[in-house]
This record gives sequence, structure tokens and C-alpha cells, in this order.
Amino acid sequence: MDVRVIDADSLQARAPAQIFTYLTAHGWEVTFEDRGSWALEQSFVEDPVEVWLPKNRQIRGYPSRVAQLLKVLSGVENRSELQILFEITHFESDIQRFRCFPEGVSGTMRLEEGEETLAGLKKWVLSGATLASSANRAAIQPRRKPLMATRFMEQVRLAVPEEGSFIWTVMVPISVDAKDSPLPIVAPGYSDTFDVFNRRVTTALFSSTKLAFGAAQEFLEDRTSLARPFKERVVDGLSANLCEALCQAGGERRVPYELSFSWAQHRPASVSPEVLRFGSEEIRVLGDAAEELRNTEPEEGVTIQGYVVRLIRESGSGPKRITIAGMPDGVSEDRVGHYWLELDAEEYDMAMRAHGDDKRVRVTGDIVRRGNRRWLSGAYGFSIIS
Amino acid sequence: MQAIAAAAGLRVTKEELEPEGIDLQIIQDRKGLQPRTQRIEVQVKARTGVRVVDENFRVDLRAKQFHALNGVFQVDYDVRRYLVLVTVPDHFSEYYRCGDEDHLRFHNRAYWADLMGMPDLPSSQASTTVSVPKCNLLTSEALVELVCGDHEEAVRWMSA
Repeated sequence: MDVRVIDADSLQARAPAQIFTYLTAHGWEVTFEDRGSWALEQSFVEDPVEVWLPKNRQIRGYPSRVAQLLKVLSGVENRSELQILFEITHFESDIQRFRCFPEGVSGTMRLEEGEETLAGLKKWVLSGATLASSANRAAIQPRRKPLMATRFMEQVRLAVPEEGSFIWTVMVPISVDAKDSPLPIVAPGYSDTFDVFNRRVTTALFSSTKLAFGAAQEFLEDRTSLARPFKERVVDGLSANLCEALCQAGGERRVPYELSFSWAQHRPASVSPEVLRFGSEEIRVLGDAAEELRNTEPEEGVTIQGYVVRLIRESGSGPKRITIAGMPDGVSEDRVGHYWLELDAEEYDMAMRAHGDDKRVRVTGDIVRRGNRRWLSGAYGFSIIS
Repeated sequence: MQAIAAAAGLRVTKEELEPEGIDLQIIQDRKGLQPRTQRIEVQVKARTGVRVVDENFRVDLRAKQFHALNGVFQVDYDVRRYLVLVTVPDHFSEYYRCGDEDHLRFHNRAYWADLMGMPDLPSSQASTTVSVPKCNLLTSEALVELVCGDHEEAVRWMSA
């Protein structure tokens, strides 16, 4: 959207330090400096452009200078002034932009679609946080989220949506203590504290999303095996959770979208971000792939709580099987399911007592689907909850 | 102003969000030099029948207009600011005349004044009268010197 920012208050609010950081992070170099201002140039372009930046926002006409600078940047970067101003303001955040193309008037979307998209985005970010929290790579991420991931989620912000067509912006703060620095500026960095984990999450989000995008495209090209391209990438960080989130973000109508990433200006990352464009077909494939992974790959280390509803012992030495009607830890009460598992003799006796006394039991294992049944494989820690 | 600047090889811009009390920005694009551009900002006042006292034009300014020009360079401004007085005939139809085939004439002249660093007016004072020296005729050469801040560079620029 091509609009000029001329609101003096908004422009006045952007400190020289923020703008300086943005410029230097985008390859602008100081070519001249006096007591009042800097001149900066982008030296690597064929026809260098110069911008002037006052060192002090108390100078008269400061908003006008910032407006002029935005105009030049918008032309050089071929981006909207609003987008550039946003990044200048949030220079201490990694920014993920989700731009979707719903039907209807630009800048609007159906309420129901918006709800789905936001739910999908939340799961998407959580999948990245979970991935960054552990070295373990599993097709299905643990239901109980690591503490680091839940703490991280509390810091993630959503910005005011932008028009064009409909843009949700997720912001992850990278610097602790980032604030308006006093002059003179210690350029180009800041004396802040770099939040390594938060950056790990955003880069994990980018790389895993790229993996999912690549897997979907690979399937669409040869259409032989849906599972293979996705399973192959699990070891690198792809998961059913990620695929489900990306599918949900498109909503039931599989609204196409693109995801773009940018790193905090003063903390460039070694990964070069790129725009990932998901069409309706890719979104549908991601949904199917997530289901396939759920059906074929174990969900590791799940603790189930519930009541013993079935006891099967065909002979004294034969396998001893039970069914628990219950749910995994951390799942809401209305999602009770049946879980099958095998126990040793001692545990089987405990299960019989729990059944007779109508007491709840607890056990941990890997959930594996066999036909329509969910089996808890490698079960351990079977106990009665008092 | 546009014509004088053009004759000096300078650019004139008018920003969408112009600083208060500023009418034009005049820019010198200096190829191969650092900084690549030099600039000044001007407040332009067109007046008829201006009083002259001791070889100075006496120009009335409202406090707001004066305070847009009397700050300190590199403290209050990042760009030097000047007042430009354009003395014009009583009737607008006299502002310019087509001469022979090869020229037109502007009436009358433009002068400049540097008010930077002058003390602020008391808050109770709504206006003031400032002096614009008659000797500060705004020619193309003078305008270049104001913009680049260097007489020798201005001479080189005009003869290049």
C-alpha cells in the first residue's frame, strides 16, 4: 500500500538511534557527520543515494526530516513507508509477517477465518518454541510444552493488522532492556542483552517452515508418497504440529498466504530470510501430511490418566492387556479417548484393583496408532492415583 | 527563488510535511564530494514598500515566524535557515515583464538575512522587526555560497 506518513507526532516519536540502527543494518554507511546530523549512503548501489539524519530529535523540523528519509527509503527498498516505519520502531524485535489473500475487500477477512488464522499462528509459533527448546526431533511434539516454550509464548506480541491484503504481524523481542539510547549513540550496536533463546525460536520457525514448504512442494511435484518427503525432514525439525498449524492458518477455505521473516535490525542473523508462499494446494497437502504423521509416527513420552475400563487376560502366561478411558496430561476433559496397553502381572493386578475400587490410574508411554486403536507402547510408571 | 536557484544549478524542494516557518529547501547536489548534498532552508517573505533604515530593510515578523529562524545551527537546526525578502511592486501584474525575445525580467529583487543565534522574544511579544541588509542581495552566486557555506567552492561551482 503506497501511503505517505506525515503524522508529525508519529514521526517525532522515532528516535535517531532507532533510525540509525535501521539504516546501518540495511547497508547505509556514514559518509559525513557534524554536530547536528549524519549523512549516510548506500554505497553498494550503482547510483548512490544520500539521506540526512539529525542526531537529536529535539531539533526543529525533526518530523519533516524523518518524513523525507522515509520517502527515500520507500523508493530505495520498494516497500511501503508504513512497513519501514514499523520496523524502525520495533528494531529490537524479530518480525514474522503473515500475509493472506482472502476473498472480498482488501484489508478485510471473514471473522471466522480470522479466528482460525490466529489459532493457527499461535500453534505455529508454539511449534517453533517447542522445537528450539529441545534437541529431540520427533514427528509429533510433546503435549506438555517445555517451560522455556511457555515462557517464550508470554513474550510474543501481535501488532495491529495491516492492509494489503490482510497482514498479521507477529513480533518476538530479541533484546532485553532495549530502550532509547542517550546521545551520542554508540553505533551500530546497543548495550542491551541479547536473548539467544528467542532468536533460536525465530530461526527455528523459519527453517522448519521452509522444510514444510519444501516437503509440500516435493509431494506436489511427484505425487507418489505423501509421507516420505515429510518423514525425511522430521530429523531436521519438521513436525505434525507445525504442519497442522500452517494448515489451520489457511482456514477451512485454504486461503493462500505468504510468510516473511525479518531479524531485529541490530542483531542480524546468519540465516537469510526469504518469503515463503503457500498456495491452496500446499496448505491442503500440509493438512493431509499432518494427519499421516499422526497416524503413523509415535507420539513419545505421553502420560495418560484415566479409568481402567477393560481387562483382558487370555491365559496365565499370555499378554495382559487393559484399556484406559482417559486423556493425556495437559488436554482438556472433553477429549477423553481409549488407550490400549500391555502390562506385566504385577501391574495387571494393580489395574484390577483400580478397576474394582473405581480409582484413576496413571501411565506413561509412546502413543502409536494401529488401525483405529491408540496403543501406549513401551508403557512405564503404571500407578494408581490415590 | 526557483529561478535564482535554477540559475545557480541548485534544486528547490517543498516537502509535504514542511518544518514550521519554512517555505523551501534548497539543495546542492555535489557529485564526487562528501557530503553528496548540502542544503539550506528558507522562509520567504514577499513585501511591497519596505522601509529602509541605515541601508537595512526593516521587516515585520510574527513571533512564530521569527522563532523559526533564530535558533542555533547544529543545536536547534540540523540545516542552516535564512530569511529571504523579496521586494515586489505594489501590483502583482508588475512582478515580471517579458522583455525582448530572449529574456524576461523579475521585479524587484531578493535579499537574505541570517537571524540564527538571535535571542528569543519575550513570551508577551507577539511580533518583531528584523533587519535585512541591502547589501545581502540574493544572486545565484550568493545563494550557492549560502548553501555550501564556502566562498571558494561557490566560485568554483559557478564557473564549472
